[in-house]
Amino acid sequence: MGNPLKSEGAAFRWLAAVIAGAGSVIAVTVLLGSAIGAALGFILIAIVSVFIVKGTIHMLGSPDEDPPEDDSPREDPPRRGSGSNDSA
Amino acid sequence: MESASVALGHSEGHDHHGPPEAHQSARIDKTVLGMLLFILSEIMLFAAFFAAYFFLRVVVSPDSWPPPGIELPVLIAGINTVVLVSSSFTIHYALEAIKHDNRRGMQLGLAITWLLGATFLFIQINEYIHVGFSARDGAFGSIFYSLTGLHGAHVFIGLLLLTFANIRAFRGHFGPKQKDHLGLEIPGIYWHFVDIMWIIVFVSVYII
Repeated sequence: MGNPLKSEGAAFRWLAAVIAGAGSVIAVTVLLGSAIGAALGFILIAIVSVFIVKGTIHMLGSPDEDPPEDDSPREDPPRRGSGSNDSA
Repeated sequence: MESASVALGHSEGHDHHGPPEAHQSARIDKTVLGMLLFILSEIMLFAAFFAAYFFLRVVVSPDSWPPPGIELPVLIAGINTVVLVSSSFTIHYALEAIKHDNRRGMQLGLAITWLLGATFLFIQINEYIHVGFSARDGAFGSIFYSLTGLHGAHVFIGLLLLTFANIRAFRGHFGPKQKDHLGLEIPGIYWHFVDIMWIIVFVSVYII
């Protein structure tokens, strides 16, 4: 369904999935009772939570994927007022 | 001569004015990271309220929920749910319209979204007036007003964002490119989040 934080279209598809899930929970609650409806709701939320956690970990990446850093020594910027101290 | 070349290099290499840009992650875009942190904090906030709701319902008073004498207006809340969910479709239409350079469609979609959001809040306030119990009437009243009120506050903030988006849309802002309608895309994501949260609140409080 895509990352819902990157585009409104992906967030809209997540909303459609939640509407479908809520519809199934409402149907089960009306037909079989509150306890079974609540259990189904918790299962669906647990499944979605796993997707969110995995997606977040994938999005953040791992340190191994970082580009190699430039090892060349950096020049320190000249300190303000160092020239006047030298001349003095 | 040297000073002239230095001046030229300075003007070519430093187009950015103002303070230097802050350090940012190379792995994740800063706007996505901002939305991620914001939405995660919001989810945790709502999760705390849901935890309180289900604790009260399951542990404190498992036999009578809602308490005797209290009947929630499920039909009105259902109509309100349809109103709010419809507003997600209209804001999605507005964004699709501006992506296809349909400015009138975007303005129409945004205006209808704002009206639907305001209608939702109006119906919810009306429900509070006529529901027949207050936040002082026991644990049920407290958590009912806390949970629905928390969501109502989010709808109000969303309406503020939509007000700015509407003003900008009717002043000729936004364009088909993604960078030109970011000010519409971000409120759209937030609005869908608010809708998703309401669906969960509605099912938990009114249906189950």
